Amino acid sequence: MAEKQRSKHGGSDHRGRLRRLSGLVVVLALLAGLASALAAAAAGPPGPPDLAQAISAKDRHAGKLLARAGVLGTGVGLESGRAVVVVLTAREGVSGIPDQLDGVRVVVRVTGPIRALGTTAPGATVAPSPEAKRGGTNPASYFGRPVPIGVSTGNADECLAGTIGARVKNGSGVYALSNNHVYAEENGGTVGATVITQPGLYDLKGRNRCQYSGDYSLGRLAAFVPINFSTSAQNVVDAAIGATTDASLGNATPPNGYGTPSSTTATAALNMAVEKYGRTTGLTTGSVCLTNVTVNVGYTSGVARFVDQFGVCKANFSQAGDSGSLIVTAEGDHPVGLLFAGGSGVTFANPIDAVLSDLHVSVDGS
Amino acid sequence: MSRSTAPERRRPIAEVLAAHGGELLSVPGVVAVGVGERGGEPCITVLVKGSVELPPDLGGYVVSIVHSGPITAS
Repeated sequence: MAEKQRSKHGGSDHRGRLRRLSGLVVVLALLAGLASALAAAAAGPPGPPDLAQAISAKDRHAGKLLARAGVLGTGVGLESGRAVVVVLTAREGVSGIPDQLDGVRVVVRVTGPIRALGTTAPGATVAPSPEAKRGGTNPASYFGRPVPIGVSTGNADECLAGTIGARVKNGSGVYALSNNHVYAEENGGTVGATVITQPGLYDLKGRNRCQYSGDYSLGRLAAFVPINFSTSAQNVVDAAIGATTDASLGNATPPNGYGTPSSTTATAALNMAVEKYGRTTGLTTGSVCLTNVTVNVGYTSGVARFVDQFGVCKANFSQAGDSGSLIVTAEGDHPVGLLFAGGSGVTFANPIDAVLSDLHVSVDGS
Repeated sequence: MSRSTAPERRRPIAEVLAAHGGELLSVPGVVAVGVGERGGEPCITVLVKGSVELPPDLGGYVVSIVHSGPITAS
């Protein structure tokens, strides 16, 4: 999440054509009632025979039904006093649903599109948090060269601030790693020409705010992975590297961070304890709460779908400006992901192995 | 068809997600789907903005709704 001067994502994408669906709730309540009635019946007089038949038909065919695109769920309900198999679908006209299963009638209920109410934009904190400044280090400030990783960065063409994730290398080449949307202007940057900076121009003070000068240069954009701005895309990484030198960029965080990341990566798994050091919130810890994530992410250029992402669910694990941070394991500081997006209480990251292989680099760590 | 009431075997959750993730994401208000955990069990976690009603389970896994608001790269 790069901190930008202009608001990028104010637009809400509410659709006017929203259908309220109370039917689902009714069906579910009905199902709950039936389940308890059945449980009670098991101990006393036998339940209605057609109900048991419907349940067994549903159980037998649920897997097959749920495998169909558009089917969201299955259940059992009552229709005109008769037990039926209920199939919940995302839209009208889902094909391949039979009229009956093992002699039990099938009823289709459309549960979506459903209703979406107001959006609440996540709060963006401009100033670095007190945690980030603890120990006398403000990751949003200018650093003498070589600069640490985990601090403010950006490009010379935009007034923004993101984070240097890591120093990475390829043979004798040394690079600063961050996001495409921090270094490469959401595909608009020019390899070999666009200058990358420390700090990001957003973090310059007073009159100098947003004004580029050569003092802030770290190098030039060396490569980026283009983002496909589409909700049918299969993006995996939002990543870019700028060519720099050991004299300009170190490979450890400031002293109040985790230090130097390992050069050996790890794969995110549920409940894995992780940490990151970034421009806005400094050192924060959390754990992986989501894997196999598909997510629609809002950018200035539009919405892009990402697949195979992971999530860390913790309030303030990251905020705007932490984009580009390296997420590492709490034990051993093994790189796991490249932080790039977030919502309220959740942070998303690209799998680091995909980032490194797409850019043909490795983490220059310990 | 002639099989009796053997317990329903669940597909791996990643397969269930792969089969239904696109549909879930087509529901207005849904911004992300993934594999999470609830009560020590794997679940389908759906991140939403605003109020969205979804089925309580999918393919034999609990559907857990998290109010994340919109996800942005800002």
